[in-house]
Amino acid sequence: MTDQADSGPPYRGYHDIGGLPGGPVACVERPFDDWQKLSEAIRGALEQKNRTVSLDEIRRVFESFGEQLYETLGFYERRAEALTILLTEKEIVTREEVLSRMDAIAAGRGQRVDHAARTVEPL
Amino acid sequence: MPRFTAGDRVTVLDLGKPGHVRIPWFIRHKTGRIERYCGAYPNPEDLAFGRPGLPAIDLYRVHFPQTELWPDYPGPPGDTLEIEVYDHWLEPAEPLT
Amino acid sequence: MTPEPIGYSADAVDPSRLVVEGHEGADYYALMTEAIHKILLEKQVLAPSDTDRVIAALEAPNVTWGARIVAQAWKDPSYKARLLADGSAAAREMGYAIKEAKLVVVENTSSLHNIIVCTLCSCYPRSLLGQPPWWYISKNYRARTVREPRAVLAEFGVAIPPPMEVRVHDSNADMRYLVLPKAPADAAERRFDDLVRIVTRNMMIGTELVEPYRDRG
Repeated sequence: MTDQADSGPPYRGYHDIGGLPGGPVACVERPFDDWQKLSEAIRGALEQKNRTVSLDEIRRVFESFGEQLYETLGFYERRAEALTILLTEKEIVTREEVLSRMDAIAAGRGQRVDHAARTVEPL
Repeated sequence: MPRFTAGDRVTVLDLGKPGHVRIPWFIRHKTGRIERYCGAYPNPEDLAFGRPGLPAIDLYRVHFPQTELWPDYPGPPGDTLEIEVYDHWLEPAEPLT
Repeated sequence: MTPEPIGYSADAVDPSRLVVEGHEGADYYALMTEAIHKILLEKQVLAPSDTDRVIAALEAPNVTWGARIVAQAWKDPSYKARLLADGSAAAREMGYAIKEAKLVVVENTSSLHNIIVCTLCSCYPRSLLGQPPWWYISKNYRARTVREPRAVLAEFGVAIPPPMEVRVHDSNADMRYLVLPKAPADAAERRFDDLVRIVTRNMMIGTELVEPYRDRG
């Protein structure tokens, strides 16, 4: 393939944000939450033990699951969403199975889940 | 045998691939020089779809003046950027005269 | 079967639109992660010990590991030469295995300052330093550092006198990067443990200095 320098600006995915304008860098610290660790560990364990998922697959999913989700979710939240989509794609779980399990866990804690808004609220 | 060695001038292609790629938009069509050869690695564009990504592809670090990347770069002209580029995203560029 | 990617467009950068820094979904995804974990355990895709082992590996690395490498390089010129030639091998000498990629160490000098970023996601030498700081994974840092590194550095209180070169390293593929900060003037007289204590995580990313650079301009 030849260079296409005259054929317009290069393709840019919504995740490909290097050089875009942004606000001040918030020089704050946040802890590495237990659920974030568990999410990373599930991916790591599936990668190491079963070769079921790879980090590049996770990246491919969050780079294609839509700009709106990419922009609104936090870093670990994007990766957690991508993990669920990937496991669904590989038919290891179904989304319905995951969402209903979330409902059941939340109900046991007096909470309800709004899957459209992606929130968990007290009943 | 890697195609390029340190010091060679290269231009980054725009392969127009819409899948998972590791070559950001802002270095495409830009010309820099090879800083070092990094070894050969499985192709992330294949790994992203659960394939093995083999044969491994040569990877280089490419050195750019910031003014090549951003015509309106706000800092001094000596500032630079280095980034990794897989062999299939590179083509040889004319040496500086 | 190759799923068709969406969200790609040939749009150039719209300078009027800032990157969106999203922080939503923590409670929801904490719950989703718990649900996925339970399901994978029930299906025996994973055993409890599998994630326990990975969590231990995630929690083990810390800033001191990197600081020890830096202090060693400050104390021992031959170690420094090996570190700059092959970061992974030199880290292994100190007892640290860089698992996820190959380590490249870049040296700050009186004429060159290095700063690390990953614009596409947030690649970072996690198996050496642990999880990256919050600001490193922020979109503002990812977006701006490659285009206006000196402005970003100024927000961290770091001034680079203009005759010096600022070199940005976009950690985008199979290397991971560690900045070797410029040693304090009295490094030769100080004890190793003392030097380890002054090295911070931000110094090894390039957003903090041991001592200010002298303005040679």
